[in-house]
Amino acid sequence: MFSYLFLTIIVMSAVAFFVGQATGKRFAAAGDTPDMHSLPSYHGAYVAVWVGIPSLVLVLIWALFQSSIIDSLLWSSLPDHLTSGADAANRSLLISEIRNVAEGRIFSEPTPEVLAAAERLNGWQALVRIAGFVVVLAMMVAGLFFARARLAPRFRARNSVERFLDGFMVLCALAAIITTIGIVVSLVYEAWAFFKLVPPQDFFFGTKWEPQIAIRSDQIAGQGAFGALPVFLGTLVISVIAMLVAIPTGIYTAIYLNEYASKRVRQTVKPMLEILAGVPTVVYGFFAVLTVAPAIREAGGLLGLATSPNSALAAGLVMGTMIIPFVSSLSDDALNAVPRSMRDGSLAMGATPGETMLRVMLPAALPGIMGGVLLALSRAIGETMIVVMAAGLIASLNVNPLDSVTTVTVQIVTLLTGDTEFDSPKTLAAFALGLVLFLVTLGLNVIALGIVRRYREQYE
Amino acid sequence: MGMLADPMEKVKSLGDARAASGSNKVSTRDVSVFYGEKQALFDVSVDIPANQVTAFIGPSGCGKSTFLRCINRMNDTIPVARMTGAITLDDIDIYDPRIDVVELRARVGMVFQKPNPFPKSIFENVAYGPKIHGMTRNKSELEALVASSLKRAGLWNEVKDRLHEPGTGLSGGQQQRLCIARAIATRPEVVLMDEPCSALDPIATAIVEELIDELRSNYTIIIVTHSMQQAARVSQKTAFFHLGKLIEHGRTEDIFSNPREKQTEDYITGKIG
Repeated sequence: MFSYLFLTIIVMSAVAFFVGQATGKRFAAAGDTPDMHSLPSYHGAYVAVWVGIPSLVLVLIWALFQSSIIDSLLWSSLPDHLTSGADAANRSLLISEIRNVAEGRIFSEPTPEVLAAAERLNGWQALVRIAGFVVVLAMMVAGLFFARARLAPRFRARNSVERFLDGFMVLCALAAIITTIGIVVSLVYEAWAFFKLVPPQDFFFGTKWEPQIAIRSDQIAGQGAFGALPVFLGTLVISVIAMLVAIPTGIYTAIYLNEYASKRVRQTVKPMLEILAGVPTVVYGFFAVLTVAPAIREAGGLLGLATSPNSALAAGLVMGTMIIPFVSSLSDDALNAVPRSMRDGSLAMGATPGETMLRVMLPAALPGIMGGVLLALSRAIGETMIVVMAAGLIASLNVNPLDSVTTVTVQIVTLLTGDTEFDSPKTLAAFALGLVLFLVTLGLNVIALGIVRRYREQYE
Repeated sequence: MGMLADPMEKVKSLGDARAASGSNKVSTRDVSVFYGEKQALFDVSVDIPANQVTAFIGPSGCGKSTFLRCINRMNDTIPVARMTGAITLDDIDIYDPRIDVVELRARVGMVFQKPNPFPKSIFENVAYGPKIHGMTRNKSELEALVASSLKRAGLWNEVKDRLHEPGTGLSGGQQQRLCIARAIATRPEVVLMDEPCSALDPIATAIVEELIDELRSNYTIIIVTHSMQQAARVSQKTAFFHLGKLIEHGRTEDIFSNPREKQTEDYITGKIG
């Protein structure tokens, strides 16, 4: 039904555009053109907006509420002995049975009440289809006449269309903001539910993490312990290893590209680094599992060290490699933003390029570099795929990089895969972890952006 | 060959070089500069006397700044720039492959068009050169050198109580004098100034011009300027450039009162430029 409606709206809007445009052209032909405020196409667009947008909004609202309104009508029309004492699950079961019957998908012999309800449903839906079509069409015609009546040579169609576009852009911007707010609200809500089941001090300071509890009575599982400290520690260990790889490599790469590399090398290396940034993390993940982890295990074996197959080192090294381009690219930007006069000033004092870099360029670019490092760090903490594939699942409270550790993101993935139930602490723990992760990366990003912004003001 | 010796050695040999006052500190022969395919400077030959102020004047794009940057080899930092001809400092060819550019630049200081103090404290700005060249043995020597450089640059009284505040917090004129103090802290023999007053207001300009006149007794100063009045006020020798060529050079009074070339006269009287 809705596809026809959308098609009608598009066709009608196009018609409205040509009507408006033709009107505009008539104005232009009748009087002398300078008197006309807007071009004919703006007149067309104005009419099209009035025809298309209100009806589109109506259809969307209609689509949103139609099925729930019909459902409740259907429910109240059912005989009492079916509806009394039914809970939400029974209700949705019964309604979907009626819907199935109405659409001819019959799995078992339906009761006469269900058959009658299905017929009623079909009748209503036919009615709604026609009613919807008529209402929308009426709305479009009204819009057409309303907008057409307002057109005049001095009518400011151009400004009106601009205002409409303005509103449209605000809506687009709001979409992202509202989504973010929605995500935060749902995180907070579920985390709140979790903290009602598990006290926050147990979660933040407990040292035992065994969340795989039974969610059905016939399952055999652990008692459950939700001390997230080992999980946070694991994340910290892997992030530290990653930053130890990424910070020096990234900054030295940036210095080389900025000060020493010839133009040709620079033009080759920079795009290659950007390719590195574009490699999907799942590819890094199997690189970590299949190449780096076995290599570390063998090296550890040669040196007589006990090395876990899922060592934190493997995941950290590969994650560090992944974020090198972030650090190097942002550091390079920061170095480029240092005015050339600083560099010239230092060179003219008789400083070598190395001294100039160390004593003038790096200190001047440091805030920008710090910002880049913090952004890379928040990226490392939130990174999921590499650690899901390469890090361990068992939360153990240790900082040995050769041992297996688990991270916040890995735990969220394992908690939310398989059977889930939204009143069990097992599932809700994922939201609490997610909230902590979100707050940490948000904090890092805010600090990083703050540093970068303050630094930009210094020279501009 | 003081330039190839260590910096302290060089400082001691300074007196000898100055003893030969009246001789030419810097001489250039047939200097041409190319930026890629484009020639920016054509066969410039000029002698620059020691302990005097020499002004390069001429309209924008005439190559005077390019020529100035040849004297401390700052054009080396531009990949497409190429130079032919010869430049000598105390009769030593500064484009000789054996010359250490880093040391040359310590002997030939430079002050830029726009004040460019480093984002460090006032003290650290002036101490920068002495530190990298290891010119002082201890902290008190360094402090004395910084103080004397700031005094020579006429900035000491204004900043002596806030040496550890950022140099970028000073006013434009103070920043430029800070850059002059920074340049003379390495005890250069020649100071190149590339339109040092073009970003300053008239009062700051007057202070810097006075300073240039005082510095003349200790340094050979080469100044590029757009302002003919400034050239007339501060310089003893003037060289006029036009379209990459050295048109005329000589004593400043002669250039301004009695130019030999028609082009010079036209520029000075405001007909070209």
